[in-house]
Amino acid sequence: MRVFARCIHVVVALPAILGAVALIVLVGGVLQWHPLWKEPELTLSEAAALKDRGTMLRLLRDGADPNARAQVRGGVVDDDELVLTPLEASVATRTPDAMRLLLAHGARLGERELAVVFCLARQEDAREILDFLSTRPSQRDPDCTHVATPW
Amino acid sequence: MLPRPGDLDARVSSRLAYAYGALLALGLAYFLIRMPYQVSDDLEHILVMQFQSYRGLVEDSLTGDGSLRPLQWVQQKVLFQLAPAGAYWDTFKAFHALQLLVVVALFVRLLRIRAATDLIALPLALAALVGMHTFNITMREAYPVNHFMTILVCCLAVANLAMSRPAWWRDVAAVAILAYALLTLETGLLVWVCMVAAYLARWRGLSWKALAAATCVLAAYLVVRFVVLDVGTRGLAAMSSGYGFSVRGTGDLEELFGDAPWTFYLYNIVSSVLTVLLSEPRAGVFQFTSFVVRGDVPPWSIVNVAVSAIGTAVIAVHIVRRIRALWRGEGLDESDGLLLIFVAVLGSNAVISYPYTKDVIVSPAGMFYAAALFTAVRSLVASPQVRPLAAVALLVPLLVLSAGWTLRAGGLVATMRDTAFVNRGDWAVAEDYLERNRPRWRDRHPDAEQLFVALQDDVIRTPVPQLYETPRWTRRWFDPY
Repeated sequence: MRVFARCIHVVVALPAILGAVALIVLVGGVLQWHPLWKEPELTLSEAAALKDRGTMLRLLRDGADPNARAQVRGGVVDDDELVLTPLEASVATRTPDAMRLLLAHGARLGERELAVVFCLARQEDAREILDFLSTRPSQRDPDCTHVATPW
Repeated sequence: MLPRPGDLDARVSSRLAYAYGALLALGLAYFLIRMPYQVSDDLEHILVMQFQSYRGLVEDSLTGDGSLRPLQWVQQKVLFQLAPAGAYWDTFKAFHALQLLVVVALFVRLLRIRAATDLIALPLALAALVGMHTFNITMREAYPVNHFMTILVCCLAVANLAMSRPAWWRDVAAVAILAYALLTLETGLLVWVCMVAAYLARWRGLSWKALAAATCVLAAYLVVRFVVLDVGTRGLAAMSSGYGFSVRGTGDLEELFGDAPWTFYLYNIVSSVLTVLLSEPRAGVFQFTSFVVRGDVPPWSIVNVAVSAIGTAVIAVHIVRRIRALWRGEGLDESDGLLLIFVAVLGSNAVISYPYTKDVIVSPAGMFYAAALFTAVRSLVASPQVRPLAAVALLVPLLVLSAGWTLRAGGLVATMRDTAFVNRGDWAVAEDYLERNRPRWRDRHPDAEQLFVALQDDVIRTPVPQLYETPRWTRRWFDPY
């Protein structure tokens, strides 16, 4: 009978695990080890691909070039590592939010850039981005058969 | 009431309980202070604090449409002015974390941990407290002061006063807390409910005079609100609200219930009771049911409903047993007060939620649910005679209950991580939000833009976890809402 009572005690006290986790988190914090709250360093292109607008704005304010190609690690856009401009990378989010932020901070969307971004959006069936691009003045839809896309 | 001097077991158990509570609260505070707050409400409120005087804030709040919350604004302004050298976020978050610590400390005190069996049930009670969806949103949102948490503190403070030894100052403190809570948020009325329920349970820390004075304060509040200022309450068209399987806009609600709004009010009251007892519906939306209809129920939804249903069943069985004991002539047990407060707060909280339902509004009922669950589970654990068959039959539901609440409490951290990422992203485009909603915001104070940029810069430089690094299994097992 006592064994059963013990079993009930152990089962009921199971949430005490949370205390152990809290202790690890707090001690880790003191030691500057944050297993549940760590942020990797991102390039502007990676931040754009992840729609991480907070990091994008921080990098832009710190002087990052909104048109510069940068590394995008494997697993973010594609299984393989890529080198993309922030605008190209932002197509991976399938929404124009990151793209808007980049354009507001000086990203260039000339004829060549537009062709790549448009064809990528069409390739990814990113309709919101296609709609957004169609609202931009005096732009014609490029012929994607002759445009090389980065992924 | 503190343990008697010399009662070593009780003292050790009590201290261990506070230590565990503090550990858990500090662990959650670690995440809380790192999580950027949402743009809506926070940014607007802080900009209002900048240009508006105390007098202006109070005057504006007295002419509100359906709400009377002057101390909410005063509290925010005090913290805004106390913030050293522009450290606004740090100040608001420090206050939020302090509120969390006080809630947990007062909650632990209310449970009166005096023996090893009490200690065994404590982690489950705290997991239910922080894992409850009504508490989750209280942790994640601020305005930038979380007034819903202020009400939790007030309810717990009054319940603790009522549970203590009688003293005149406790009477005065309880009435002052009630007045403060009433002028902070409408759910402050629940402080009065706690006082009455505690008195009915024969907790005599507060005298009948305190109860009478509190009732006078409440009556005065109602007269001022409904007669003198004619602020009234929010009606059908005030807010969007959940109904059936979706959130309905005010226009939809008018169309559906314009002729008989009471049917919608009744729906909200019943929804508010059910969400605490069964975690379904959520903010008026029958989420689990819609998953079942669709044929794709995520595990977290099953866990939510299952652990709430089992917990409610355990509480219900305990209440029936206590009623039978009372019927047999046994006196009121001290812990019966917790059950009575839970039932009273649940009912009143649901009634207050009649115009629209939000999970955060029923956070006081959710908190006392955790206290009632503690009482029920402790009685199971402390039961001297557990037959082997009964023990085996109990083990499975108790295991589901324990593991489920542990998972739900862990889900709080998961949602805080997600919220941090989303909120930081929203801050990057907060200027657009202001232009859309407050086009003349720059004109209200010469330094408005400077304050905005400082707040925004602070947020975008706050490290938050990347969502793409979150393991996929957590999406299935942790409630994302």
